[in-house]
Amino acid sequence: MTLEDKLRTALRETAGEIPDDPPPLRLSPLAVSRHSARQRSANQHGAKQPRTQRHGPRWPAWAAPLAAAAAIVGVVAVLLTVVHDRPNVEGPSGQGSTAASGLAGIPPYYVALTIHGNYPDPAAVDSTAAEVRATATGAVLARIAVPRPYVHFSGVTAAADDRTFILVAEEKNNPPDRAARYYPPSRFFLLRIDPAASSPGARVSLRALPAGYIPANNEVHDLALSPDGTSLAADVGYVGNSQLLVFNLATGTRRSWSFKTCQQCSPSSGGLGFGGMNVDALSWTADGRHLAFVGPVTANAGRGVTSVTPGPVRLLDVSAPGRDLLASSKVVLKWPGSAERLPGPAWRGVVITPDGRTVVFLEQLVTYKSDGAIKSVRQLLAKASVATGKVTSVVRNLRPVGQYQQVMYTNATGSALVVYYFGLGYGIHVGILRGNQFTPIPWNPHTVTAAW
Amino acid sequence: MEPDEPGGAAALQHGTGRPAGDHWTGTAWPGARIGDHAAAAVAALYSDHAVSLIRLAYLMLGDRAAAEDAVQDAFFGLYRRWDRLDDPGRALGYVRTAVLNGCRSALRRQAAGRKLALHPTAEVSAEAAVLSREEREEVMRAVRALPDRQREALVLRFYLDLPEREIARIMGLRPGSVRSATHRALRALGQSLEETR
Repeated sequence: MTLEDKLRTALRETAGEIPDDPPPLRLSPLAVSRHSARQRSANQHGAKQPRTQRHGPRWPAWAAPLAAAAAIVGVVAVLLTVVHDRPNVEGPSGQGSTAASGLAGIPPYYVALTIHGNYPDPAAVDSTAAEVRATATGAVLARIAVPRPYVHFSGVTAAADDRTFILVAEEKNNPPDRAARYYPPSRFFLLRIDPAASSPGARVSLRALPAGYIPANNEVHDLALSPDGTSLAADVGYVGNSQLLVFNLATGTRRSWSFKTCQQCSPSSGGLGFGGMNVDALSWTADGRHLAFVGPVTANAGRGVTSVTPGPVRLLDVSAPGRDLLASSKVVLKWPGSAERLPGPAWRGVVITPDGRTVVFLEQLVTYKSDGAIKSVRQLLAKASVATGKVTSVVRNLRPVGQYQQVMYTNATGSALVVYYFGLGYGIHVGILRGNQFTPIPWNPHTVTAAW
Repeated sequence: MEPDEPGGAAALQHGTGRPAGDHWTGTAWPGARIGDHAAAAVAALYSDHAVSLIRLAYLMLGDRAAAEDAVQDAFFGLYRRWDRLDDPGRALGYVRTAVLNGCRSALRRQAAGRKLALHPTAEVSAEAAVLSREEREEVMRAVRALPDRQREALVLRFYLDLPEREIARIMGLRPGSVRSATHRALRALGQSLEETR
């Protein structure tokens, strides 16, 4: 069989995995992807902005060179837009503003990555901007343009002080002059906000991190800023060859830990577990010393993988010596289910609470029809004890209305979470979850991801 | 009318020709002008072609849910712009291009946001007959490791069996570039499969 014949056959048979009964057509203006926040982007949402929020181009825009500090290797010009108007958000479930009482314990500000642009200008669409928003109202306090030569922000993480954030900016992806496999360079930026500053220019500063340059062909799979804002952990690499990096923000130094990945997995699974879905794979305890992550998936049948067991949640003491990630860390939570055939179960998100006592996680469960086809895929939000490794609670399932998709924030104990789910018509609902009580917050449907 | 560029649907609602900083001013919701006939026509097209388009997107993305989303988005984009469609007879071509645009966008977001659920690729059915399970996994693993453009060229050529000129039109390339991309892709594929032996 020639290579071309093999290719035709493989493509045809792989395509045959899609059954003949497509899902019903959705023509809802609120149609969105079922994938979670970082993947949601502008092309999936169609909610129109209320007429009451229309206003002319009254927002002053300015470019501000920021002061250089001793530990800073780069200073970039940022374009900030300060907003003095009503929030540009959809009300929770279309019902107006959120009850302030539901916000207790949740940081009042967050940084959202939002896609803006004027169709059909791809350059504009590429420019995912960062916005500082108020949790209670969704109002935009400042907008941060992507510093050139980078073209979009691709990730954000926050410290616990509600003032310190890290952004990842990337250069243009897959430029046409690159014939070979290529992933663009990226850089970490430190964003500090001061919403109370009297001068708009003093509200935000953006600075390139020392040692924060990630060269081409190294993806930043996931990142997490320690609650005390001193350390940044990032899973960086490409095609099964990634490593865990921890940057000391004060000194600009970094440490690295290496690990092996599942040899049978696709190139995109070359991160810390999740089989390529690495968002929320890293989280810190409050002391900035212990980092939780999900270990590599276990493939159970050699080259012809027939089942997998999602990797356990592990805890790394970053102050201890050692460079081997698995040898230097300990298991705190094993996958609560059993090995399943592919595509099988998976962690969708794993976050250790800052007090280090609880792991909040989303697990994805798959059920099959008798003929082997996938019957359903559902997410379950639950908590487990770090001390015992046992599941302690399962959050009320939203079915049939929706399923929780991502844990975007946890308070110190895990008693208050910011999560989102898709409701009827795949409308996005973002809000605060306490026990089984969900309090929606205003949310811009064009926001790709956010960090508190 | 051109199909949505990656990320285009949301931008659509904000209209065109406005300053970039004026993205919240908004325009009238395009769908408001669309009548029931558009929904019926789009639904009929969906009924006839959704499966084949989902399969196409699945080959590009390796993720069924993402593939379904790309197709849903493409049909939704078609629905919203139905009244601006020059020739309804070309709707299939439009939506196919939109699906591929959506796949490119999803792949870019995947790279940017690491969120596509590309699990270990052995998502194979038991009835794989012509190729062994292992062979097929190897081929698909190698296909998914290709740069997006090369993978797209291979899928259009060897799955849809489209002529080179049509592939060039869909991909927005010159036929020579398609030939070059296909050649490089096959060479890389061959090398990759050889290395796994």
